[in-house]
Amino acid sequence: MLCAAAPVRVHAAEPGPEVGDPPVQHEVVPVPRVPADPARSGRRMLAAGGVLLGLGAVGRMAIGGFWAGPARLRPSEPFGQWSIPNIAFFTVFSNVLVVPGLVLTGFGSRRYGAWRVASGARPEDAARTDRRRKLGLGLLGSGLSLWVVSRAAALPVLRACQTNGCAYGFVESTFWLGLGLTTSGAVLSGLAAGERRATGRLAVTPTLGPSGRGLAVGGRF
Amino acid sequence: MRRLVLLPVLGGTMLLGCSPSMLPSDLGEHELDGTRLSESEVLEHLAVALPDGEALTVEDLFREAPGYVRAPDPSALLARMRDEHAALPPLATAEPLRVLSFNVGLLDRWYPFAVLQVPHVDERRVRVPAELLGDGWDVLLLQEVWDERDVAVFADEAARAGYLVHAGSSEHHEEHGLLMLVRESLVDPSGPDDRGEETFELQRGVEDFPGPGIDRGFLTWRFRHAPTGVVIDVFDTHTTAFPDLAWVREGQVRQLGLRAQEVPDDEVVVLAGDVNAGPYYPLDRFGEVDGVPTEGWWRNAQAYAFLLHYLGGAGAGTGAWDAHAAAGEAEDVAILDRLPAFGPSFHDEPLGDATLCDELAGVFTGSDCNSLYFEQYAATEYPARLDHVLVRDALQRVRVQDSAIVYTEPLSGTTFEASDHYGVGVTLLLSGQ
Repeated sequence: MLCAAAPVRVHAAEPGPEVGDPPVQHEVVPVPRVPADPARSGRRMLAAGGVLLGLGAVGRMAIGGFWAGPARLRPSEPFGQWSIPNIAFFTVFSNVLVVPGLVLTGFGSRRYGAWRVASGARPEDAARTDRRRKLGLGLLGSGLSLWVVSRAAALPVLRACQTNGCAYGFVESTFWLGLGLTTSGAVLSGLAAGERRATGRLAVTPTLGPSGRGLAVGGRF
Repeated sequence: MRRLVLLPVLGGTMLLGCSPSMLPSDLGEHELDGTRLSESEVLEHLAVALPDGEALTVEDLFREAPGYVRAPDPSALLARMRDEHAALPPLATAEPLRVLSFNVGLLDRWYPFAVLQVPHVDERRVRVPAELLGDGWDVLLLQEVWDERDVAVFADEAARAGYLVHAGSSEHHEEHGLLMLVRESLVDPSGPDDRGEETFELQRGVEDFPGPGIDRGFLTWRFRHAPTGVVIDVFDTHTTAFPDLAWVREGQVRQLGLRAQEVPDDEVVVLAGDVNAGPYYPLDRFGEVDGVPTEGWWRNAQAYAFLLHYLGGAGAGTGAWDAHAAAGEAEDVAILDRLPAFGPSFHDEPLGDATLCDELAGVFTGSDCNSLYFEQYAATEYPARLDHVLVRDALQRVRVQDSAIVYTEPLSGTTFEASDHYGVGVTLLLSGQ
């Protein structure tokens, strides 16, 4: 949670200083940050997402191991068209874990990004946040696009494949590349979204000074 | 491939789907469906083994699946095919046609969490094509050539050895795994040369998905036999296995037989394949899977009789006949009646006494006497003549010269056979007169 990057002071019913007078000395009370709740740091979501992603990845590696091991599929051997429904069915098992893992990782990153700034663990840096946001969204978009396009095109591609290397190479390379892009994109864009969320939050605090009273409104405008 | 056991999770997945009809969609529409068992030479042995069997029709067996009270005994049927064939007048001039039906067991597939593989498939897929095509067969009707790569090996060998190849379409071959090869010099180039492929209506759905992509069916090939001018319609099939799937298999042989019925009487039908059903099983309970006794063997004998029925009724010259029986080689009943009672020793060695295999190897195409079969199915099934060559020859232009169970010995230099089945090799004599 967050705090004011540029406090604005609003003085109510107070006469302003006259021109030429020496500047009024105010005691500026720092605008406190919105309290950072450790229970909402996003760490648990991140951990859960990581576990699911890890299990999904391990499961997917196990599928690859099954194909290369017990099923004895060799890249140079002809691809069996009969196996297309099974490939689709089999790989869904890992996605059952990967998809919720990605969602949790994304939202966990968002919370964590917000919490880091709110707690002061990470200084605000709008430029960095913006760079991270753009990079994250780019990776996330690329990964999701790769997944959607490669899965939409999988049937004609696999039907055209003559060898196991072509078919399983397509399925595996697009999965792992898509997973890498999507996961890193979800993390980066989540962190950036959290930081932006924290810096965009208003904090309104009463101020007291020798020459007046007022409200300090913290936030990004 | 005969055994396909999917994990419960996959079975559960399938249960969520639609349940296919257990009956042929056109059952009752063909006059052969209404045949009384007691009025058919090929079905009467079923009638006497059923309660009130005298009144039952074929359609009743499909719809009601009445339980047998004793083993359907085809002794009279097998003897009649032998005797009627022997009584046919000899052909004045005839050309031999050597036909092989062989399930070559080149199964090497996976489905989620499981691998289906007939032992020694790598060695066998390299050696079997040359072995078979070097043995002088004129027509080879093969099953379980599942993968295109094995078809390619056969095709290469066929090109060298002078055979034509029919494996069905690229879209469906890997579903049925059937392959036909005919010696090129026997096919009249002026035609006809019609090659077809059909998928059975009834399937064990789990064999296709999430199983290993299997949809059973049959291949057809209609060509003119160049030496005699006789048009031959050849069928190659592989039906669903297991006693508890008899309803699937019976629907399949009905479809196959009715399709063969469409062949005109002036053409010869040669229908062969792995029907996964023998003519006779003495006991309804035999063998065990994971300690659970296997039951339903009596009904398992129905498919053989149904196939003969729908193909044209038994009796040489008038309908369809089993070449092995017509040759007087069908010893199913006598041998099986002498089989020792099933017991734990069947797990340890074939039939509990491997010396019995000296006699059985020449009688049955599927049995524990085959080392590859024993490795996969030890003590789970009856030894049986699962593979058949049937002939329909309305004009009596065909005789069977000999029939034998073949490829019973290990491949040279190995300890294992060419397949987990044995083949059926038949020499037919064809006359153009």
